[in-house]
Amino acid sequence: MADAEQRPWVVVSGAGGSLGSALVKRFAASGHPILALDVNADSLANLLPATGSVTTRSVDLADPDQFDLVLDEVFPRRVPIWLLANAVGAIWNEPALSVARGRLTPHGLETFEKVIRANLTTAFVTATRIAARMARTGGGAIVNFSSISASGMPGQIAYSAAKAGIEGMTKAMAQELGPLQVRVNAIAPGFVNVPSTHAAMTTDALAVHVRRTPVGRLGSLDDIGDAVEYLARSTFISGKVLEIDGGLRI
Amino acid sequence: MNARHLIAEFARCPAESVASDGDLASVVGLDSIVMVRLMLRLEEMLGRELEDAEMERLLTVGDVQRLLDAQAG
Repeated sequence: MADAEQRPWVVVSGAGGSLGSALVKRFAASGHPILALDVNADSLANLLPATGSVTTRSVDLADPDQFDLVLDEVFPRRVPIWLLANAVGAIWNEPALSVARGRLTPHGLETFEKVIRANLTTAFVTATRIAARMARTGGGAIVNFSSISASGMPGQIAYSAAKAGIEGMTKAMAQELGPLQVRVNAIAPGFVNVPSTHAAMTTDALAVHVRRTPVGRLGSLDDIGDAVEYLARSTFISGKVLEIDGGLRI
Repeated sequence: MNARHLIAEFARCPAESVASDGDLASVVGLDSIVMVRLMLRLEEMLGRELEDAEMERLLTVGDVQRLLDAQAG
């Protein structure tokens, strides 16, 4: 444990999800102490890896006051944070217009705001608070998560808007925080083989995407983890959105 | 340390253009992003984090000079 405490921390938001939990295990295995965050306490219960040091906290990441309390509790003094893997988010399917109960129904405002909160507000709160910590300890890397939907995915207008917001926020933060040695990048995965992808579309629709993908397969969690680690280690890359999609968007 | 020179370094302007009794907000080049960098530099010089109340009191070049003088004294 003493050795782990000497290495810089990795913070993972959305740590209870498929991607987040894979990132926790990857970086814990490499000896970094991990702060794993998720609003869903149950999802954090199975995170403890065979090796490494993982601190879990259930917190609403869209609430800056709650998040500040967690940070003050876990990091009562200055500690270097090497990486924020900002994997918080949730897919939501809802078209701009649909026919419901025999009426032409526009996208609900409540669900729109909920999706923006779950995907963009959370990432904003987490990134800005962790950036303040990084700036005071010599810098660090933030990797946000966009999506192939950022360029506009039919049937996902709120999710598309949130992910486009992630890309704008990433580029603005990179410009502001570069002089403080805080690098900010984003990953925009294509179709990844996780339960949320299968839940978001039919098997036939997914098969069409796989056929259109030059490498002919879905992405894996390791593919995404490799990209996160690459951006964390590449100290001359900032403000970029890395498309990890097997060539789908060529 | 002279506050005018420190502020001029961050604002990338001649020290002569920074009035020793002027407001920080009036220093050309000292926008909010540069101000953050200045505050972190002050923390580095002081060897501690500035309290929120201390930051709120840093409104003029003179306030910065007094903070630096207090540390030196």
